[in-house]
Amino acid sequence: MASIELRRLGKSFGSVVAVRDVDLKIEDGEFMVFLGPSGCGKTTTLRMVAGLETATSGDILIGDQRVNELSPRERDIAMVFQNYALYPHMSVFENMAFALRMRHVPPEEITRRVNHAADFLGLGKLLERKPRELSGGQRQRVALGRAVVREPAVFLMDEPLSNLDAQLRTQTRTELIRLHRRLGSTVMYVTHDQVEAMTMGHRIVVMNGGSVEQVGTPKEIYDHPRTRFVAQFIGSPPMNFVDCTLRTDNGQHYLWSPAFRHRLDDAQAKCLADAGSERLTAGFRPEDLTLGTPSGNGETAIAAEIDVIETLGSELHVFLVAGESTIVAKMPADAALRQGAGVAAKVAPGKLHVFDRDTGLAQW
Amino acid sequence: MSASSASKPWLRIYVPLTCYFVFMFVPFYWMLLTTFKADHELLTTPNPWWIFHPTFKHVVDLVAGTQYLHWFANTLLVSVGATALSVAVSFLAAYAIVRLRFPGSKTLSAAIFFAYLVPPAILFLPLANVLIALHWFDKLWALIPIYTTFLVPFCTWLLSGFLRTLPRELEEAGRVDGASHFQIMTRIVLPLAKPGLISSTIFCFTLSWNEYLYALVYMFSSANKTITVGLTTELIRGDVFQWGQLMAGALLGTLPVIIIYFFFVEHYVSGMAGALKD
Repeated sequence: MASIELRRLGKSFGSVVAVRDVDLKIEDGEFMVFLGPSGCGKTTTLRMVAGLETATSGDILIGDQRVNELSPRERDIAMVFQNYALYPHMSVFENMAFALRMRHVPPEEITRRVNHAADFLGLGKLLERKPRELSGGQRQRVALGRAVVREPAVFLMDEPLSNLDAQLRTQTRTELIRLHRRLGSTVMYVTHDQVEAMTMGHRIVVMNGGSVEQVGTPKEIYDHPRTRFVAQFIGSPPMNFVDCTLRTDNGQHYLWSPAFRHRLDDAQAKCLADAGSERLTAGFRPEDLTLGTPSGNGETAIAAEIDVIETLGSELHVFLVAGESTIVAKMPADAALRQGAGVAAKVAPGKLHVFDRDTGLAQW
Repeated sequence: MSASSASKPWLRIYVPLTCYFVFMFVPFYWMLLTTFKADHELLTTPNPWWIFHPTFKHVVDLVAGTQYLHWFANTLLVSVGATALSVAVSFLAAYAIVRLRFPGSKTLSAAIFFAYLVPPAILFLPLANVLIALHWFDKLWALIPIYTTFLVPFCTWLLSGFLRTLPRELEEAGRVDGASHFQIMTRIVLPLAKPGLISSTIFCFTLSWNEYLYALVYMFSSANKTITVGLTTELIRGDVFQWGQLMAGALLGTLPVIIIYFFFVEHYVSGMAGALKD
């Protein structure tokens, strides 16, 4: 086991910058998830750590050793590929044994390690089969087994669950969490699925446009997104955003837009005034909204009309139209709501996020 | 007419198929007839499509009276040698072009293919100079490197197309697993490239087996002739064609190619498909 450290890591393909100045430390034994949309640079970062891409700038350290110039074979890593990349002409046993053979591990030790890994991954009876004779889930486990038998310092996983169906993905996710608990190894895990990131990661790195937007525990990322991008990317349905400005009325400070008005406390108002930004975006999560009858006092709240109600069994997703904005609220399944009704949506205290509209940065 | 042809699949499928069948098999049938007909039956017969007095005389004369078996062995040696050399060189070249990123690999790939488009009739004069300089004239084995001049370009192109269809992740998995470039090539890529290699092998073998021009120009002693050259130079004397022996020689000469196609036709098709996907 070992830690991974990335220092001002960068990668360009010609004039296209894929990864920009990534600074990060993954602790020994940590499960770190890299999350972001397609093309955000998360896979390129992983491939640089694997040694499959050379870094254009910066350093990669595994343990205390700088590995930029080392080949993948010298880095003591194992990787699980998105499409598993099992060798089609080899049996399950040979697939798992291949890396050990390349390292001249004695045959009896190979057999012991492969059998051991196969047993706890439930592959014991499939060792003689070829990959084409396996189901998607079994192939996925072979790919994991191939990494596990190596007993590497670091596991690198590139969207390993993305080719599985929804049910199998949930199941395998739990198995991966158990596997990590058992092995206690350092894992660098790339995904674009926020549920995987939230459920599996000790910490999450959210990437966008080649840069790191935020690093934090799942709870930190969810509760305190540092940028509008992070706020938008995490959460389902995503966070609601309303463009607004800061207004002062009779000594009271408000966030204001034609459909939205929210009174700020002094600390919040000072914070926004210090930042000096006029163009703001208010953000609030669907579950942080309460819906009530319009009171007319205009103290807080969004005057809206119920447009669509989606029933999900355990909850309702209520789509509201407020001026030019569409807002989603998550309500209990038994909430008495009627399409077309006028409502006042209120944001729960302390749950409002404010972002600078130009920089996208959170204001508190 | 068009409505009725649409409703009758035999008109669309079986009529063209029959025409094709006749076109392909009549020459073989004619070869077979001529091989086993007695001399007097060759030109005067009530039904040219049948053998009334079958005989092995032409086959015996060919084998016993000429150096046919020697030519056959020569052709086999040259074809196997040229095929092995070309497939080996082409595989290495194709792997390098497709997988080892080096500047100019695309240009090189195109240049190799264009080399295939140069007709042998243009190449044989400069090649003759080379052979004279190397003192390789009338040396049978010299045909092996000569044949690679037209086999390697096409095979490289065919194999690069095929190798491109193999997922790059397999090689990356190999690198992460600790394999060297050479181990990746021999233990991962080579076994997976089997259909492509079989296609190339069939292609090289057929072309070498049928090659005429270079063998005719560069080999002159009877002991160094290949089947194609031997038959036409030794069994056609002026305007005298020894049809029986010629056809017997041609018939026996096609057997190795037929056998190879028969066993590998399935792989040949999949290899070609792989080549065309890119």
